[in-house]
Amino acid sequence: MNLSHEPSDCNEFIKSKLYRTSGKCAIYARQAELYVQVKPTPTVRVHAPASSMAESNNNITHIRHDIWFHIAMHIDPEDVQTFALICKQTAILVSSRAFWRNLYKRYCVGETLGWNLVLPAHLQMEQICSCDTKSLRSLVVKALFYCHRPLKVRLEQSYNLDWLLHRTFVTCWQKQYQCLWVICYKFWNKQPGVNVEEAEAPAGQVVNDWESLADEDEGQLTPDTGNPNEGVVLLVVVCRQFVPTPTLLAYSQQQARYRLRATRELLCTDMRAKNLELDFAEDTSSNATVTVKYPRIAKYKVLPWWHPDFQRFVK
Amino acid sequence: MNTEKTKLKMPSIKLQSSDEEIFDTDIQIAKCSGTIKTMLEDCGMEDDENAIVPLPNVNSTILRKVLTWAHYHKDDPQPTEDDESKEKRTDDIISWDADFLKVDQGTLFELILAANYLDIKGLLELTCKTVANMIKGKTPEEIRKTFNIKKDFTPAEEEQVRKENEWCEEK
Repeated sequence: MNLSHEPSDCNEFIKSKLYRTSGKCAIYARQAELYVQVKPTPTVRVHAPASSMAESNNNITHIRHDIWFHIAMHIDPEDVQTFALICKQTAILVSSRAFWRNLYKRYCVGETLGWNLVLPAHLQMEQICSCDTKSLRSLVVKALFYCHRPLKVRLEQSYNLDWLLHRTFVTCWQKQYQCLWVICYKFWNKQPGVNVEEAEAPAGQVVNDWESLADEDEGQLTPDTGNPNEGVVLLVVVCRQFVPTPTLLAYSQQQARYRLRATRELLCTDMRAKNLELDFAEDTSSNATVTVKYPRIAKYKVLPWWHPDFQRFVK
Repeated sequence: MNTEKTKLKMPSIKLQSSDEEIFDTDIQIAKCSGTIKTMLEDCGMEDDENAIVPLPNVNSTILRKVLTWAHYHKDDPQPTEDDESKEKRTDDIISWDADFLKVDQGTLFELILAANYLDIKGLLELTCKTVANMIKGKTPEEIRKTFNIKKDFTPAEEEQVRKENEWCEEK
């Protein structure tokens, strides 16, 4: 070894021979020597008079990522949305694999060799552990609705029609079952084929600083593509009478121009059944509305994508 | 008599905080920390009463708090691997711990970091549970107000996060 090296060069050389790093120590190995060195903490500390946790810039506190990480590992499933909506740091944490694995471990892992008998086979640990993060997230959400009592209760109480309001109409299909007609409406919480980043990014932007692209990726809130049905809610109406789908809606299926503006559940004059009315409004014009009326319905059900019955009806 | 006293006396260890304050601590209490325990065992410092264990990531105020907590919980059973994956309740904090954590937010966050650095699972759980409880039942806006956090979402990003997590909503 050339001893005339500058100290910084030596450090570089040692680092280039990095052998193993684990826990709070890093071990650097050369042929005949071994160095054990305490790892410097990788995070950037912010400074405040009382503590290094809180930087006071005009009374604004910046909480370090690792603190949020530890807190995230203790968030209850029903508080996930609130936690994600605090700031970008928490939103990114909620999109991480570690977060969803932790939620699954805390609430869904069974005691018999990791098997939870409450869960169907496709939501067992073995099945979900190897899938990508977006699919994992969607599967863990589904599993939580089987295992976590406060969420299970919501399924038992069933979802109301308000869940459908302002959603984009995607498609509709009908099926006859004995003397009943089963009509399914598919709604989405966004415009099909559009995601926020694409919609907002200026087209054809030229990037000169390629390294900045990698930095941007780290902080980006990634869109969900893991489960194609994420964001979908079905309305299943069971009716004795065939009601054709209005032409305007049938035409709109490819372009997704209509949103559900209002719903009405009205008691029939004989008070023995209910009528269901759905008002659709075109996105571009506030006047163009389509109303679909289902007289004397036998039943209706709102099934969001995480509902265990959703797969039975979705197309 | 003297020999008996020596026998009964708990071996101690010196811990040095980042601001170079020395804390003479019972070895049993210090070993609540996985980091210190490993250091003592790996470096053979257990029998050396004069050995100083440096803790460069913990200041004296926080270390004092940590040692107070460790002293109170010294007889608690060590958490096992299985405990880690068990459902973590956020409503089972004992009153002593609740009083112990009546501190300002900065100290609370410092305690989280110290518990993580020192590998004290019980304290890490407790501090995180406390913050998780502070979040519970509040709107994101109220949480930001509580912790003085700036809202850094664009309206589109906020809407996207809301939609992605709509499964939590109760309508």
